[in-house]
Amino acid sequence: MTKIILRQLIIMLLSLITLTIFTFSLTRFFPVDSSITGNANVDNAAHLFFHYFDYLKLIVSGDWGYSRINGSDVLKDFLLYFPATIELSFAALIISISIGLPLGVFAARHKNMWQDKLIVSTTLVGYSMPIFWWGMLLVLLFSLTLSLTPVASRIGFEYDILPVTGFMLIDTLISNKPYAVEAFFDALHHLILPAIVLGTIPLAIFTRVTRASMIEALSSDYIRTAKAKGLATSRIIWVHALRNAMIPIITIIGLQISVLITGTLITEIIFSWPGVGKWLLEAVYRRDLVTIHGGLLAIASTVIFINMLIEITTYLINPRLRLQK
Amino acid sequence: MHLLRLENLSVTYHSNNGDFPIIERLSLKMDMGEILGIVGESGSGKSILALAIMGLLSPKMSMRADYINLDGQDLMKMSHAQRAAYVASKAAIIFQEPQASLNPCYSVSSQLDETIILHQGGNNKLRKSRAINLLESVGVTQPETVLKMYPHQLSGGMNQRVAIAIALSCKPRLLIADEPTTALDVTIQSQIIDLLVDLSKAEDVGLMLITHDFALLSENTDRVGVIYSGQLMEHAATENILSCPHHPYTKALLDSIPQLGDRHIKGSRMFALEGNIPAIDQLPVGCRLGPRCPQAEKLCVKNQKLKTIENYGKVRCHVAIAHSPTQPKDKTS
Amino acid sequence: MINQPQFYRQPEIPGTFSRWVKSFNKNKLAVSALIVLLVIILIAIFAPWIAPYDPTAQFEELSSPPYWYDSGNSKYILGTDDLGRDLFSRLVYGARLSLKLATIVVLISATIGILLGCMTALTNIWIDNIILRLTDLILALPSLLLAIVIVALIGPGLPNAIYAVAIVLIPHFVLVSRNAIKHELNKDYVTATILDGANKSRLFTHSILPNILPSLIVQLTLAFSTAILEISALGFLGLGAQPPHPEWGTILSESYVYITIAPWTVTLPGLAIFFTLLSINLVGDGLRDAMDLEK
Repeated sequence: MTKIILRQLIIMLLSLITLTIFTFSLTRFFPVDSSITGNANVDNAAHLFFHYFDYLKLIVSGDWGYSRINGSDVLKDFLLYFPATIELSFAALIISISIGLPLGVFAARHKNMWQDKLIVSTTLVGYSMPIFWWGMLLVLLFSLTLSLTPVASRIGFEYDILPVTGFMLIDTLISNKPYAVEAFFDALHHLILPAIVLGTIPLAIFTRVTRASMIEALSSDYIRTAKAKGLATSRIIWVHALRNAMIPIITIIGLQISVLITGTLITEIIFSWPGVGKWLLEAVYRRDLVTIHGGLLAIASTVIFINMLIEITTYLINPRLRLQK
Repeated sequence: MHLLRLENLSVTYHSNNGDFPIIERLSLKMDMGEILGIVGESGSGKSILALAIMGLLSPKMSMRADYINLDGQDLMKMSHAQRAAYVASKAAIIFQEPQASLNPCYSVSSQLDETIILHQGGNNKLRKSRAINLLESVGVTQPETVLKMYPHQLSGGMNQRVAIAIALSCKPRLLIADEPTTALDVTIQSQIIDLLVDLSKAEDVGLMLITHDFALLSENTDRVGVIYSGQLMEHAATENILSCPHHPYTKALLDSIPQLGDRHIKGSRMFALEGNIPAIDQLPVGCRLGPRCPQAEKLCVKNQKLKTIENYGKVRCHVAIAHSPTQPKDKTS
Repeated sequence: MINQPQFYRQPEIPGTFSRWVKSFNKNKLAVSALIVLLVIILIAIFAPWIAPYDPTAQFEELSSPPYWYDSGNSKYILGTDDLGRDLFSRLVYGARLSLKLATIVVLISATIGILLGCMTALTNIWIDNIILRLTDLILALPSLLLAIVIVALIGPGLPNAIYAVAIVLIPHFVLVSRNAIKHELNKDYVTATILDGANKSRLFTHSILPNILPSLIVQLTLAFSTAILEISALGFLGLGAQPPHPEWGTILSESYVYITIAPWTVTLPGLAIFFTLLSINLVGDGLRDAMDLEK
């Protein structure tokens, strides 16, 4: 157990070192800021090596440089915008898992029947949906035509909420304002449409993967044994088949983190969501290389960290890996 | 009183290219505590027969039968749920791949426990002692250790013992073993077969032993049914079939067993039937064995009927019947 | 069998390719998607003859709705945008642009990626390890983020966006071709071919290549749809094709401001992207099923 965690930590560390070498070489090719790359004119390889260590020291100590546009601390900026992105991604993930998983199981149980065909073709539609267009369509329908949801931002202007954790849903509840509960529901109201937009593609993918791995699990020999034992159908599906099907599904959930971050870049632009994506794109428009460098490093480290968590989870839920002979 | 009687069992496979018969009008009887061997090549439909009796056919297949009588009750007259519950309480099955037929995500104890809950019940302590007893009865020497382990940590033979223990936990009257030793080492094979035969005799459990290996059947079974391409070709007492096989297919199967030791004649070659079992969408007309049969003649393109030969058994081959020492009665089945 | 009387039917065994075609043809959804895709490709090729106007020509009717609206004008089938440009012509030329760009991207990334993949699979373990580490890292990063960063570094605009998307797609080709080759190399038939005395090039062209072809074909269709999506996403973010270009994503970003006044300038270009992606994905799925590939 500890051995596995240790191994995953070492793999994560190696990935992070590869990442910093990558970002470091970017700063050499595209001079970002003398404050984090040291002297630009390098004469030999040994110097480069020392420069890399200086760079690493700065990164680890949290000195990620200052924005060229407004001079603010890049790491602090990232941490300021990050909770909004996490809140949005997390909501999207919850939506996609809580719908995709049961839908995939349902489709697998009705394999090749009309219900299954309907679900599979719907997921293909979702899978092929350009997210920026899908976002606009939903805004056009729900916000502009039906006036059901707000068009932009995280909460109405009438509420004055102090950012404590950065998560609007938590901040509204812990604020001592008289309208705390109202503000919470307003924040939820603002969250729902962007989360649906962001969750659509992962939802389609989860449904497909759940369906595929459930079909595989349901056709395996141990399910035949379970049926011969006379177990109830619900137990066969939710205990015997799903437990095995979860192993590939967890891996796919890990892979969706990338998809979610790609999606947040666009969703945040459409909904003026003050998150990392919007922050990073504004830096791109202004060619603020220090911020871009910091954003890339931070997002990539987050992805690598989450991947490690997923790897450990797959170890824990798969006895074949956990208890090797 | 018969343990199992099935009459005119047919299984059809529904594919996009049409429906194909996998088993055609097959009739069988098994007495209480009888050991019946079912033998045939891969693809002959013998495993499908086992799945059909257990009600485990895939949704792409459907079955019909005049009746399937299991321990006094007709399965065909029951609803789907009734049938599943009844079969699970009266019959159990073990499969070819012991490792694959146990759930890799759960320990032996939890997989054994859920059938004990279902069929015997009892509190935690009682159930655990029952599980240990079951494992001991299938020859597991350290039941307490094995209970905590997962299928991938056990050897193939050990997994098959666990699978047998799970099968026995419902106290079945009929145990179907579908190629129980094919995936195992040769040295383990006889242990498992001996275990099955001993258990069957000790508890008076009917055992249907399905295999492609005639050698396994010869010493252990009371009667043998030979299946080819979904049809019962020959069905008779084991000693009859061994001493004087009638059907050319049975002869071919027996001739393809290698002879060792004194019986081996140096320089002699083993017999092998030419060709392959026909694909279900390419069935020949008349006798299914026709294209491969060394004794085929013109009349073989006519459908062959299973006929009873007195003091022997049933055979589906007019050539064999014509040359049989005892003439067949006119009764067909 | 030869001595036996031949009154029994002999089984027919079709070749691999005809089996794929037969199996693909059975999938009606995939076949109709292929037809739609072919129509889109034809539209792209014959855009100058199909489009009634120049895609950048501006007319006096600003934001004229499609002809089926009451206030629609039959001169402009799908209406005009806020600058009075004919939307139908812009979409037709957009198809030409999108497919052309995606083809270039896929050609670049497939050539480099497959070459690198073969190199890593067939050469020594050190190169393999280094390239594998790099591709793992790049694959872990969100592809659009990487493309955006690359564009940010080398500057926005069309050729740069193409390079960015191509670079992002390379690791997928490396990994797919490398894994497919490694998978085949472990099989007994390869050992048999080596024992038969086949040299490396024959081993590759006659034994390995035909067996990894299905994975490569599926990866090509996948990359094609990813390329179209990412190019239009970059266009939407203002980092790809720049405004006068009739690129679908660029059209969308231009018209988002006018979503309430002229919603058709938002719905129709998106529909074009969506149908193109859907048909490519359906064809890809059909191919995967027809060639019996696991994910």
